[in-house]
Amino acid sequence: MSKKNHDQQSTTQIFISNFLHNPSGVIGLIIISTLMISAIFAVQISGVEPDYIDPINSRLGPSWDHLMGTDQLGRDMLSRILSGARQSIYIGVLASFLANLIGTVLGAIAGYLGGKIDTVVMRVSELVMTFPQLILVLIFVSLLGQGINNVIIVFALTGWMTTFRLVRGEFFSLREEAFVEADRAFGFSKPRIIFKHLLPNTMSPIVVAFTVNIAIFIIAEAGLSFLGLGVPVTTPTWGNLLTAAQNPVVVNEYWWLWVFPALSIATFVLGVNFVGDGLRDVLDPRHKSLITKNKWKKFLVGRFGSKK
Amino acid sequence: MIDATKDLILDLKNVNVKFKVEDDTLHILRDVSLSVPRGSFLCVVGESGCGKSVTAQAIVQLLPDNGQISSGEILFSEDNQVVALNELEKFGKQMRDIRGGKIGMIFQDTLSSLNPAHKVGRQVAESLLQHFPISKEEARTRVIELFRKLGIPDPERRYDAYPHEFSGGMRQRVMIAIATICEPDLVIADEPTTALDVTIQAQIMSLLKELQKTAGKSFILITHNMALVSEVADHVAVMYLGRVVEYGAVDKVLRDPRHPYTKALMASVPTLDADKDVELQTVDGQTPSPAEVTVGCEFAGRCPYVINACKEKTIEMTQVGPGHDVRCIRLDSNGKLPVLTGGASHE
Repeated sequence: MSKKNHDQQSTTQIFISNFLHNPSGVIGLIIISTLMISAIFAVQISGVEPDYIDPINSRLGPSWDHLMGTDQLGRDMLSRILSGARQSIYIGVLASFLANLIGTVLGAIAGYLGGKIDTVVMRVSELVMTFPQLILVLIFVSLLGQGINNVIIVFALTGWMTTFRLVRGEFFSLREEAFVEADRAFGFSKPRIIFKHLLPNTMSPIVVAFTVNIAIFIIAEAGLSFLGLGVPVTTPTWGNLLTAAQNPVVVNEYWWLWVFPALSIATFVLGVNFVGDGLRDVLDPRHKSLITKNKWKKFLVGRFGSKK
Repeated sequence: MIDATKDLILDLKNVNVKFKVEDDTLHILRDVSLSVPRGSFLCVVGESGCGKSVTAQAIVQLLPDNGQISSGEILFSEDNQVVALNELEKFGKQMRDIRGGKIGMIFQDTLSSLNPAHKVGRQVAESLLQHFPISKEEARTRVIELFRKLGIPDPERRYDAYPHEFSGGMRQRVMIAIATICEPDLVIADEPTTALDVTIQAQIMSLLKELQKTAGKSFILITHNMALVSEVADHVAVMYLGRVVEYGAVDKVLRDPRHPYTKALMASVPTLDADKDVELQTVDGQTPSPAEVTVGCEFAGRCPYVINACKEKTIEMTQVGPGHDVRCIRLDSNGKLPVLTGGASHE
């Protein structure tokens, strides 16, 4: 019995050790976790509530008191950016998860079964894709009204097609594999073959799509809120903070009001993409046993290291 | 000897399978009748495209979507009850219970027949859990036990390995483990050793033979390797273009082939002591497409014994000896082919 525990542990250990030897993954993870932890302790770090209005100290540049300055109403920008991170990350992760869930389930079923089901879902996805996404989002928002959860629903409903096509394509090739025929010969049911046997084989593209979608949705939220259509302005999100840059005076005179939110978005999206790259390398079961020890060296030393 | 009439594990009666290809309908299996006595080893031989694999797929109801059993019966004896497999719903509960549970399958390509994303032990255990209400722990011990029996070294550790970490022969042992873990009554092996080298082939075959002898399982082995047939089979069915052309006990069919096709097939087997200056015998011509032959004997176009009557009507099976059937009208009353006279009759 101890043998079994040891073996199970070692698979996880291999995964962790491979991930730790993957530079982009580790850097991305550090970026993301730093941002997330600071978002959780937003008030403790900045020392001010994000909604605390202090008109006397409005539009102050970055200083020791206010590391990222203050806005028109004298609210602390650091506090607002960190609590904005909560909303933006929440929207990005949840919307991406839902969009991926829809895309994966539909893609798996359509790809495995083919035929009429596939044609119908495919046409629907094409319809959604050919419609300009922004207009679609506007329609949904006007129907559902503004609000964080509505934004998430809208993103999930308009963003599942890439994952759907990806998974469908994978299943198209996977269902012809001999092991699927073998699965049928062992008497497994269709749902079991689709979700337990084929899905793990498509995990790496799905994980990558998940991370890419997080990045896309965070940016989309920013764009939508910038236009005043996303999350209500009273809730600080990265997009809502950027709205300040609509005013040319702000762009020219009060740079800290838009540079810091924009930087936060860029940093977080970069981190998410890094983790996605790292996971893609590590998750593929066919690469699990490969030793990836010298990747850090390659990453840091680059081409020059390998030349000597 | 086993009483062939009473205790049949599987009995195919005049099975016809048709495939729809675009607008055409191809008649792939024509009146295939085979019977497998319980505990015996049947080999189905024939060249590529003769319907060997389709026969196997038809038995377990796993024909491709465009294929269909158009007539005939597939009778399988399950716990002393005869079930007509062709009447069961393809993916219904009963059929799925039989697949894997009562009929095990071994496939040719071992690497692609195993799921690359799962540990091999889990894949074997899953087959077991699918058909029996036992705990995961129990399944694990039984899988490891079977691995040991099948000659997989260090089974506790190998349980948690992935398919790509195994060699071809070891993967085939894993496949055999999956096929036999549920103690099926019948195992269908579709060219299980084609992808393996000769020494591993011998090991795998003796493993299957041992399973037949010790566990009393029945086997259907699909192959084109005649040497293999002579080693393991009890009965042989020779197929040509969707028809069984000769069926009988192995020593009868291989030692004394009656059908011109079987004769040609046996003559084309290279032997180690053959003079290397002598050219290898081949069967003249090519296998026609199933769409071409409509009436008469399928082999007529390539047969040195052909006469006009061969092409006029469907040839029936005739008995030439006890349990030895041949589908040829050129046999005389003793069941012998006429002596060829210089190939004059060859067209």
